[in-house]
Amino acid sequence: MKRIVVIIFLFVLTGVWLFYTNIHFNGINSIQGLSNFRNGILNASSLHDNEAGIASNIGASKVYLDTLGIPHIYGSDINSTGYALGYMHARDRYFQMELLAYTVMGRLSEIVGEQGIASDKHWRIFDLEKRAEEMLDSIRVTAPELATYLTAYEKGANDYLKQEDERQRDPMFTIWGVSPRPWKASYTFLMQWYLSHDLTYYDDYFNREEILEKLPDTLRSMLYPVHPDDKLAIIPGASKGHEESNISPALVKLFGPNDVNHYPETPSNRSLGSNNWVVGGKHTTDGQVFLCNDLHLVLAAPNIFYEVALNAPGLHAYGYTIPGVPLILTGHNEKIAWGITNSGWDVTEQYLLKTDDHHKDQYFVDGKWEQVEKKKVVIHVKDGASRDFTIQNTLFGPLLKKDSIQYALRWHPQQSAYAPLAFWRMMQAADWNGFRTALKVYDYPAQNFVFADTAGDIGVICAGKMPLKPAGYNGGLLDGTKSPVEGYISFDSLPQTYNPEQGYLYTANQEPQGNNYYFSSRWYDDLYRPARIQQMISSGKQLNAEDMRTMQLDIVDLSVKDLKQMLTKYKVVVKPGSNWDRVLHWNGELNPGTREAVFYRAYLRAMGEVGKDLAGQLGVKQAPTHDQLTHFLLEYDSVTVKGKSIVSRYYFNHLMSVADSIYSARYGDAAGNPIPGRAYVFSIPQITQLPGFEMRQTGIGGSENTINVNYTAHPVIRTLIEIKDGVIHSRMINAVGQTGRVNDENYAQQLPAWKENRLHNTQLTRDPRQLAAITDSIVFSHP
Amino acid sequence: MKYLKYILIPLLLFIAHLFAGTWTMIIAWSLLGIGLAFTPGVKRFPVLLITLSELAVFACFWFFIADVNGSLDILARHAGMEIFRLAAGILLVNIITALLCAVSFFLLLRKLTKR
Repeated sequence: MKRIVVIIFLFVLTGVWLFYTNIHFNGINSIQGLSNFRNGILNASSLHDNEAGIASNIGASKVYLDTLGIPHIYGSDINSTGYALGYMHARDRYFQMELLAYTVMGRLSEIVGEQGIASDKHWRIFDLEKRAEEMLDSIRVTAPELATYLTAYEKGANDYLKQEDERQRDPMFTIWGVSPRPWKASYTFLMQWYLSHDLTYYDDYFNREEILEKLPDTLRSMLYPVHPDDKLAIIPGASKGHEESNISPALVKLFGPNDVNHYPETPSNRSLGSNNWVVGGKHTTDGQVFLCNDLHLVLAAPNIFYEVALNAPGLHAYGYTIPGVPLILTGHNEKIAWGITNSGWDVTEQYLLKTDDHHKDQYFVDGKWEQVEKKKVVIHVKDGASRDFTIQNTLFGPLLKKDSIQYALRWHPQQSAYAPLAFWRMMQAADWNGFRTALKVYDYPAQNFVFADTAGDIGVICAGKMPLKPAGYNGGLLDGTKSPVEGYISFDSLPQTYNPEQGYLYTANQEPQGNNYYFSSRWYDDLYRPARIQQMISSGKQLNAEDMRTMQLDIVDLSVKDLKQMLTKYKVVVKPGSNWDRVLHWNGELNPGTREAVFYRAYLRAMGEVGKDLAGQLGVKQAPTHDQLTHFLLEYDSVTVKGKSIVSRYYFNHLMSVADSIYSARYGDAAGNPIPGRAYVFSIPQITQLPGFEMRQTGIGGSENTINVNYTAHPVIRTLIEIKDGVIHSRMINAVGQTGRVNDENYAQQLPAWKENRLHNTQLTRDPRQLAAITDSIVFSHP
Repeated sequence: MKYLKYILIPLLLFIAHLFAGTWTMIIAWSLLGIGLAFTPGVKRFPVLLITLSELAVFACFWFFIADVNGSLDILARHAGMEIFRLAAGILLVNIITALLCAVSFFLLLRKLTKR
């Protein structure tokens, strides 16, 4: 009897052990799967290069790999270069490529399981997998040479996957328990949509609507101003455009005066952006031109950019591609250089629909009831049951609900994806005219492109498709009882300038201004970075490359100056030696080792808290931004709302008190000194947020207001391009590393240099024998 | 011949580990328990033999097959752990699974055949 009990117990124990060690926690491969000798982690092997004679039916090419793992591709023609780049992207980043493509197709659950369902439900409404195929068909007609290039790229990626030794597969496939699936040429367009979504998909229109409806014009212009008063527009000397929008009323009616806004929103960061600037010869030591670019995104490993040199007859370009997109997005060729920043234009629209119970599945538009189109879709889930759900469509776009309110979403980037065509032409452009021609087809996400060429010319074009809006539109909801306004701002009407008199240009996500169109989705935000860039360039000093490099590292927050002004305005008596006293004698440099900088982090947090308190007082959900609140506290003393006075002095005192409390609670010890490692700390997660793989970073200063942004977003790559005597020389750095393989040295190899902005010299040469620091090569032979 | 099984078991386990995926390996360990139950001369379940066999097979993989320095060490570093912990984790999971699967079937078969 005893033996039977023991046997039963052992079987139960074995069953429990096998059950738990075979579960896929959060979609990750099971413990048994990972521990298996044949298929698990133990089997992962490093890459073996010097792969000679890989057969390619596209054309011959050779890839030279340098010590950072950067490929220098030399193709017999442009398509063989595309083939080799497909091979290299797949070799180094295929997990990332597939993850992003499947995210945009709304098929993430096939890779990560249940946790991908919410994302898939969101993406499926746009039907982008089908749309990508249609885009490729369109490109085959309008630009067949690009379609052929993308097909060569597809072939290169898939040939890599076919010949890859299973042991050398990216360990992420093992960890997530999936196998790579073939790449398609149309997936390149998915990557554009991914970035468009990252940079220009917003979901706070209900909150804005509430502000537009509930707050009187005067109050709104004081607390929620839209356009800054100063002249830091991208286009120099531009007058403030779209003047009336600071006080434009709402276009629809949703909120009663006492209604509570309980509508959910998808958090979005409208401040995701970047810096670029171009400085002409009259401001530099030797008459050279500098073009710098740092792209601020949420930093993960691998980051989204991949450095490469592309060489073929008719093509010699260097810079950053995105795995899945075989084109240089920021960089240079032998004649021109370019850099990008996010324009953040308002290309998302939410239309309030009129519906009622008597007209089921219908909405009222242009005087009649229209039927909602319905389509059933299935989401396949790894290790789980498939989910069915219904997509509803209107003439505006997908029909969605917030609580009981039905609205239609019109996300303009869903309509087209011609950015690859623009970059394709830009890589091969030789001057401003070629650059302009390339950007004529550029659509999304809208970007500020700075330009420089070997003749010493500079320029900027704020490019993209900006949908026309109804008169008086100012960022709230749109009226869904009328057909949408059709059409876009013409290319020639987009903000652009060439060789401005001031001799330099800079963009840091500020408004373009300079014409009467509505562009921006931002409300009075991101004002300090452009101001600091302008201050440094226009200081009167003749600038050199080291100055440019230092500028990229700059962590002076100009908002400190505003805080000092507030302390003066409100005649605050500060205790000598206190944090406030220190701020008064401080230059605003956010050096994480200093007490002032740590205290300022507490102050910036306090601004967020006080903004929320103020919004609560006003009965609205969306708090004023830091810049809006600062503007109010500096410019106004009080305002009366519904008989209640909002006194700025009260809020400034409250701000000081909250800042002191946050500092004491989060950052300071009993003596008031900062506790090391509490402020200016962030982690770089692995792209799938895999536990344990995050890289904790300390000692990096900066805020959301500094050129070197280091709060929420970070400069994921930096470029410094110098044009002198007709020759372009560049230096670049990736925040993490070249490869996405966590078992490869190149995974985080550039991180230490990135922290100090020790950019590496790039190599763009027609003669591969001149390449330095080459460690490996891969040959693709053409039979 | 008496000690042949002591050589055969690690050898068979090595071959199984070379080719078997997760569930095939679980079946292989269960078959090992069944096999041992019918092996003449085996009176008690050989805990030590199986543990040492798994250890030996793992050592062979670790030293002769796995890419320890070129891949696993870097992977462990990026995962924020010592490579020793990575190795110990893999080894432990395999030993526990091997012992549980084998001993369950060993004892069951012994009971059913009244040996």
